[in-house]
Amino acid sequence: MQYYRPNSLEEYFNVIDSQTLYAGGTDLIPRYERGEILPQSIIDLKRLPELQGIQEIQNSLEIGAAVTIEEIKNSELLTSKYQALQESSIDFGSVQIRNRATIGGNICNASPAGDTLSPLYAFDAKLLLTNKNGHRLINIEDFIFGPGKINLEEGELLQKILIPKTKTKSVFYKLGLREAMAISVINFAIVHDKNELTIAVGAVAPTVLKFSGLTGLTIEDIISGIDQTISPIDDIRGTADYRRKVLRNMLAYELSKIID
Amino acid sequence: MLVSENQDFQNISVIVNGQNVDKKIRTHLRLLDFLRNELNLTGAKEVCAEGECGACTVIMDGKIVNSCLVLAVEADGAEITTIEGVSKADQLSKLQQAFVDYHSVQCGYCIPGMILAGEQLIKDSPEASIEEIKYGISGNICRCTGYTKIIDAVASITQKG
Ligand SMILES: Cc1cc2nc3c(=O)[nH]c(=O)nc-3n(C[C@H](O)[C@H](O)[C@H](O)COP(=O)(O)OP(=O)(O)OC[C@H]3O[C@@H](n4cnc5c(N)ncnc54)[C@H](O)[C@@H]3O)c2cc1C
Repeated sequence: MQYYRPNSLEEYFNVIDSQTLYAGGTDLIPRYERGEILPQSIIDLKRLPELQGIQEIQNSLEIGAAVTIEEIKNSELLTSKYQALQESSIDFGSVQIRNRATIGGNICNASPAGDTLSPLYAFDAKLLLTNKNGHRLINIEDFIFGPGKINLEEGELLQKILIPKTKTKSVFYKLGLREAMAISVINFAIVHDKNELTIAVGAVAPTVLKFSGLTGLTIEDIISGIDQTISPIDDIRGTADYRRKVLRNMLAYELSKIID
Repeated sequence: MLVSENQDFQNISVIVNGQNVDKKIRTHLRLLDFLRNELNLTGAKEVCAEGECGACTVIMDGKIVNSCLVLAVEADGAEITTIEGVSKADQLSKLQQAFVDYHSVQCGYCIPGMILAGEQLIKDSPEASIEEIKYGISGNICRCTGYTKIIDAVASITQKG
């Protein structure tokens, strides 16, 4: 296996050619540990300066794809206005995992239970995808097609996540089977400002589902609308019925707190 | 161990427990294999090999990581501390002594990782509360002690007042 660690995007474009992109390795290495053969070569994206940092620019918050979950957890910029995203980092793996796992890896791994995804959907996040010839900017829901299936073209990488700067109050809820190191049985994020209410739910369908334009509906109507749309499965972490029940109850609880 | 079809090599230069190490290694070697098999530092243990248990924890550039989930080539240029680097000239660290005083060790398999997680926690939050200690060591599984005495040992340093 060849290992490359470019120090700039320019260098990166000189080495790419069907290599596997590699960030924190917390999804990739366990796959190789389970016996999957290593790729011919990997490109380690962690040192690319173009994929670092969390900053507010004119109309949005920009997060580099190589930003770690621990950095998300500790970023003061997120604390007041992007709470749901920060909350999703708190019960994410362990210190060891958060120090390595990146937000870009969480998005590109495209697990329906990925913890940063429901907040990113609820905040209307856009993704900046970059290749040799330039960029494209797409909504996160147009990037993730299904478990592990993403709209990433050959030679492209995820460079940044952009979140429009408008939403004020938000909350994230995760149910795991134990307190630490648990994969979400369900998770959801609610974003609420005066004019808009958006809910995104994870681990109840092949992708995160987003519900917007909910202002004016009763909590009961919102919940039964969501209940009719989701398609949870029975698996080792819970039955479909259990997922529906927890989702209804926890949505009712969190919605009544956030809508005052 | 990871399986690779071809054997590619790369030179790495790492500082391990304060000592410069330059070595030519196979690129698919995990940091854990490098430490145990190439440097004979067997304090980091392999248990789950998927990042769940923390027995292979080492400190890399001031951050705890699971060495089973890091490629050794990624450590090129990094500074690594393993359990072998925690005591200084036969003098136990404060935390190691606290583990002895509080009877925090039973079978001992998790302890190297537990100590390193604790050392870094104490450095990052010198006054960590019990809750912060529990949160900070939640990536380290112990099946013997029930954690109480481990938490007491860390707290004896962060909560001395
Ligand atoms: C013990 C353990 C606990 C975990 N706990 C949680 C948890 O609580 N919540 C959760 O959501 N996840 C959890 N995970 C899963 C994993 O840590 C996350 O999905 C993490 O965010 C993946 O990021 P990474 O940088 O490690 O990805 P990598 O493993 O490096 O990559 C994952 C995928 O993304 C691609 N990729 C990475 N970066 C880019 C980029 N910039 N552009 C294009 N493609 C890219 C890679 O090619 C690969 O396909 C856990 C994993 C472990 C081992």
